[in-house]
Amino acid sequence: MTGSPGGVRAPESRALLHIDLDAFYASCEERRHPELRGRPLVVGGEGGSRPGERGPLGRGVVSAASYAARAHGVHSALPLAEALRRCPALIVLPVDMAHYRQVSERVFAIFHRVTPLVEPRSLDEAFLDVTGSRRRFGAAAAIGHQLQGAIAEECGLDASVGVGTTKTVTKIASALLKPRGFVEVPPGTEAAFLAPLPVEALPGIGPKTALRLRGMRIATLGLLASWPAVSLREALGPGAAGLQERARGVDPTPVEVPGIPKSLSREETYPRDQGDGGVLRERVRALTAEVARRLRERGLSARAVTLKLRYSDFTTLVRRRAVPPGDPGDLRLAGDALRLFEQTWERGRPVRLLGVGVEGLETAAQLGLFDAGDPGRPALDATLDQLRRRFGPAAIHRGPTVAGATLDWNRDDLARLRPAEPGGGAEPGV
Amino acid sequence: MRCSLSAHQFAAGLGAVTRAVSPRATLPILSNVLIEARDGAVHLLATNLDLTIRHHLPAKIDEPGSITLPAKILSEFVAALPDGTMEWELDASSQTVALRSGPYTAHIRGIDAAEFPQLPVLQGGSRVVLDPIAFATATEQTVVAASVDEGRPLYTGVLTEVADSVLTMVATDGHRLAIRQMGVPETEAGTRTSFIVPARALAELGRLLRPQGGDGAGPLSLKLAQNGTHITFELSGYEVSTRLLEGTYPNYSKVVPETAQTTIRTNTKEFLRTARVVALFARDAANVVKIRSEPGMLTLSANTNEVGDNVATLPATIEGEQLAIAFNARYLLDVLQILQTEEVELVCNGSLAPGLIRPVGDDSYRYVIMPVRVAL
Repeated sequence: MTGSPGGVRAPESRALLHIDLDAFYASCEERRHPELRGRPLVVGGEGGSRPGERGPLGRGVVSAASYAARAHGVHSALPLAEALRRCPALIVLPVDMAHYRQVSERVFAIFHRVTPLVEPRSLDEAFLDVTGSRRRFGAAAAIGHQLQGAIAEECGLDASVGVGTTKTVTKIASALLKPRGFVEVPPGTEAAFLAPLPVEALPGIGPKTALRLRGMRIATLGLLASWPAVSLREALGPGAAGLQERARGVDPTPVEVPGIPKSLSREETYPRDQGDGGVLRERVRALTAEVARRLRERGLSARAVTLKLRYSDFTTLVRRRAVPPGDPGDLRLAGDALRLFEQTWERGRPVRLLGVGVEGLETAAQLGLFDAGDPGRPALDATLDQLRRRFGPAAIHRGPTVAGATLDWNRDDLARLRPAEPGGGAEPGV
Repeated sequence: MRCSLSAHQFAAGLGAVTRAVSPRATLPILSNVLIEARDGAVHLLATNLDLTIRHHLPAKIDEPGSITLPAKILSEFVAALPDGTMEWELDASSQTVALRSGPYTAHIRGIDAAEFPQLPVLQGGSRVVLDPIAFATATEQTVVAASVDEGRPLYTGVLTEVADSVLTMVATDGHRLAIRQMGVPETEAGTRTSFIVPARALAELGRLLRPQGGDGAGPLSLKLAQNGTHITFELSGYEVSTRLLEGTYPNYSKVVPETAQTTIRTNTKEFLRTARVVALFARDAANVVKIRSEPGMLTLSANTNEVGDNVATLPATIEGEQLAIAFNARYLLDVLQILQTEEVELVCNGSLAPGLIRPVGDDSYRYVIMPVRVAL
């Protein structure tokens, strides 16, 4: 044990979790292409946001690498050409943010089951304050295990969990034993936990600061914690005191729940400009359904619907329509979005980009007894939401949108990619 | 016109009648009360053209006649008088009434009764006799669910159906719905009718029924005009007439849950108290109170970002599946306040389907609430 922590401990310590999904983008791809599981795989390479279009591999970099790829020395930010040199059997998939976002939403929904205090750090990382959840769900560590299990079971993803009393400690703890890590730092042991770790482990200490600290022969957080404050300030400037506090395990920063977003939207750019009214209408419906699903997932309702159209000459139009407060049902929103579309679109003029959004978001939606004449409809929307969460947005469509499903490019990514694979030659067939 | 009558009786009758006077009258004369002295009685009438309230009280008529007087100043004057005989005398040339009661004398300028709008005389169609107290309760229990939003006029009304000696009243604002049934002691054979009464008119009628019923007043009867545009409720001394709302009422029977995934039974007063306390923290637009079933109890909770949160438990018997649902606290409190039985039942089918509230042991009343969708 090192010396006692410098700060005064709060009378009742907080119970925080940091949960970090392991190799998230790559795991998402393994999850929908199970045949690739365990093979060296990266996502990256694609520069543009136009789905279905692939940039030349030579220019791209690795966005994320699976653990199998990491074993070959492939890591994120590595140029793809170099990655393929290190691992000729490497499978390169384009980045599909829409898909990762969807998977991420499912994971965050699991977090929200145990506490509303969830602070997202990115698609694959969040802090949770479970101080008040323990009475219902058990000790913090038990909650951590529950969540890790639920993420594996329901989403097929690995996660690493850090349990502790401060954000700094939980974040370091979750990174310690990746993948599938689980590290608990009990209250009172924060300083002891941090002491042996290298200074680079502390978030906020970058390569430059680390170099300076090592120049002062401060290699561990324990040394940093006990170093005379004055000389530390001389070397590092005004930020020194904060770093030292955190190195001692003191970090009162709260888990901050992001406010209600101002708007939500979904848009797509077409591989080829689209002038067919039938197809465009189906896409308006599908995009609206997707936006409505995200609204419902967050328990929000909207006061206005927006439609965005970009023609092939880049003329961009955004139109807005107020909607009555209440239930953001698929059919109601789609009706409004379609009306906007009919008012906006010049018949036959090719469309490059189409988007549907909602604005004026409110936290709760009072459902109506007679909305669309069917009180069972919210339950139907909820069931469709569940199916889409589980199997993706293309899994199920309301009758009229089936035709639009042919535009769903996510499904056949792999098939399309195969022939485009550049000459590594070592790529075995599937 | 010259007559004398009891100041107190007149004040009470005038108070009831002037509730039909609109504070923003479309015609200036509608701010006045029509007063007629004839046939051994003084007849009072006030209207906003949709709602009309009439009253007559015994008087000694020395010379018949009529006049309209401003409702506001007349009410304020007579309400302030001590009881005693009040004498009326109209000076027809100046259309001014001299009112004398003991030491008090007032002169109030009126408008010629001939200028008061002619109200349609109700040509009797069907007629139903009702028990006043039961009807007052039924009114109270349904009017609470009606909307006050004139933007959806149909929802400001109460659907009233008479069929096979049963009267059914239904009100909804689109988010909650109340249904009350009562037996009709006396109907003309084969009466089968349905109409939409403005909730406002029923609320006024309810006000009249309460004290009347206490005095063992005679029965209430409901008279529907032949052309179906108006309805009149008659009770001793009073007549309340209203224009009916026109339109097709939503198919309410479809939204009343018929299945029961979860049935919760608890003490009405306790439920009301708990909901009231928890609702103090439900301050967002949707006023959300969350209800969760646990073995042997309910947990009610509410939170508002800047205010804080509030959780309470309540013993309850729970059958069926576990439940987590959110309601607008207002809708819940409205119904719990007016239930008279000791126990209440909440029947739900998941967190997104309508919930049903009913008094245990009283099949005549049902109240349906559509939940609020939140992240539960």
